Amino acid sequence: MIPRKFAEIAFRRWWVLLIPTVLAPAVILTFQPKKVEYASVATAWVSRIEGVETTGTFGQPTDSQTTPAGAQVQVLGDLLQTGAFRDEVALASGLTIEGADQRAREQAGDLITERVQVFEVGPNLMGVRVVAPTAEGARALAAAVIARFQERALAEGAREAQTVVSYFEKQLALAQDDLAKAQAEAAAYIKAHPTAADKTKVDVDYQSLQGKVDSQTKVVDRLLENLQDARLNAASASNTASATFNVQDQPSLPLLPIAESRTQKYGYPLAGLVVGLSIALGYLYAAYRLDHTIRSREDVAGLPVMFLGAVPELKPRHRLRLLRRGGGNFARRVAVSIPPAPEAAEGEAA
Amino acid sequence: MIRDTYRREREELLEAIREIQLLSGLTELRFTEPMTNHEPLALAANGPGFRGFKAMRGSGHPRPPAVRELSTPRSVAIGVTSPGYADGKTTVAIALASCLAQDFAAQVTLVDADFHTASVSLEYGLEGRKGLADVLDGEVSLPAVTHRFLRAPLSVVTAGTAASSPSRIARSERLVELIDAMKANSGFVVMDLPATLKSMAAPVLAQRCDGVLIVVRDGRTTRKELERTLELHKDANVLGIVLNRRTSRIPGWAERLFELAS
Repeated sequence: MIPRKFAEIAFRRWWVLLIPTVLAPAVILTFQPKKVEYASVATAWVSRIEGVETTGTFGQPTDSQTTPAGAQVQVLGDLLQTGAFRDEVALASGLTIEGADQRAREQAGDLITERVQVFEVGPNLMGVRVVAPTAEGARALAAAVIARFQERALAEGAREAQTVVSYFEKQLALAQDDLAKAQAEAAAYIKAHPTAADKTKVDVDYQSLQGKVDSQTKVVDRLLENLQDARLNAASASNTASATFNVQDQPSLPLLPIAESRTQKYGYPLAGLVVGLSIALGYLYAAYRLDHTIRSREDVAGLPVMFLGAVPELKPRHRLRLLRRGGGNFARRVAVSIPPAPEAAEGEAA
Repeated sequence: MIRDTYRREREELLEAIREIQLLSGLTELRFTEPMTNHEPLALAANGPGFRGFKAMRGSGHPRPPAVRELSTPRSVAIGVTSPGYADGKTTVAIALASCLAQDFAAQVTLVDADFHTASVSLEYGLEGRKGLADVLDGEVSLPAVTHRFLRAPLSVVTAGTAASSPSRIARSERLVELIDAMKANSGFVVMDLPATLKSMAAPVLAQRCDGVLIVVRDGRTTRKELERTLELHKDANVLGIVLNRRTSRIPGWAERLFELAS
């Protein structure tokens, strides 16, 4: 049950209830920043290269659980966390200029982190969404991100392939040395034992040396094959990169700005309404708790006295004013009609 | 200073009285429940006097069609006081006396016992006239300061001009005799007492009455003030409290919807 005094305060100070309830959403609507932003989106087809060793292939999934698009999203996301990549993107998109100071580069990097969003559309499709104050800016930034990512992928692929080539070349050189040594040892043994090569006789030492030569020859042959494969990979690194990351939709030029979100449109004013209402109710409750005056029977409850009744306040009304004008001041007329008692007149005379 | 304080509020009170009188001829008392239900008012519960007091004479209620006769078992003196100034005790005292006199033909004496403000005297334009204080000083007799209405059985005794201390007057045994004398001539003696928290004489004067009404002003008198007033009147017979100048902004639909207490 609502205390009468609280209801009385609420109806007396209805404007207190109204002001914050109206004012808070109005302030939010007035001072809410009206951001006009454009979004440019690009999509790229990402595939797994069948029959090619995944190790050393940039952005290729290393396990069967990760989709190609997921792996590329992860790689691009990681790259966007690096200052060097952000610098390159900023420079390419025109956010910074060559030779910009550290502070400008950091600001541009923060903007890129804030505005660029990389996401997985499907198992083989990834998307890049860029939000910017201008349509051209959004498209330029999206294009820069994709271009720099492709360059990085290409460079990284080439570097990795070259590393593999170098590795196999070194291994091959070592294996060839070992083969030459084994062949030399075998030749020296035959020279010392001319009959060792006779197939009718069994010379265990010679056979051991010959086996070593054969084994090393196989190693050299295998390394040669691997080296050729690695050289092939290195030569076709650009083609491989194109095959694994193919831009399907180039960054679009947005014609219309992004529509205002529902949260921004309705949520904030509603939150303001709730806050305003809370303030108003809080004020009314405080006023109710701090008002110790007597306004009704409830306020004298508990006192050892009876509440007899209430005399209403009479406010002047038009009808009353007319009556007063016509009839004069009744009270004054009554007052002047009171004559002193005869005894009083006598007493005053005395 | 006390007079100045009172004068500031006097115009406001006058306005209320005028409207009361214009509306109903005398008073606009509207009590929320029958007085006869209250035990402290049993001193007159058998007679129609207090039934008349409960008369619903508000703007929406018709005036009683005819004057009825009172048959009080004995004469009573009712004091009307309030915690502070401008709470409306004089208005209620005048209204009570007028109601009893005009509507129920009871012989009523309205005594201005508020020696600080003499507000009843001011209301009736009798300021500066000799009154109760002068009678207690022995300067004049009680009948000499009793002003009678011609149209109603109502007499008014003003506070007077003697410079006696209100506290001394309140403690005077002569006052008891005077009240008894007024009760002998009237069915009801309505005494406008000083504001309790502003005058030390109020509790003593209240004890001289058979019962005391405490007038509190809506939205002005605090519960603490009322508690203090009741504490000061612990030796008097407090009949109850009357909430004066009650205003409400709660619309009827809200009262019904929330079942608000009156």
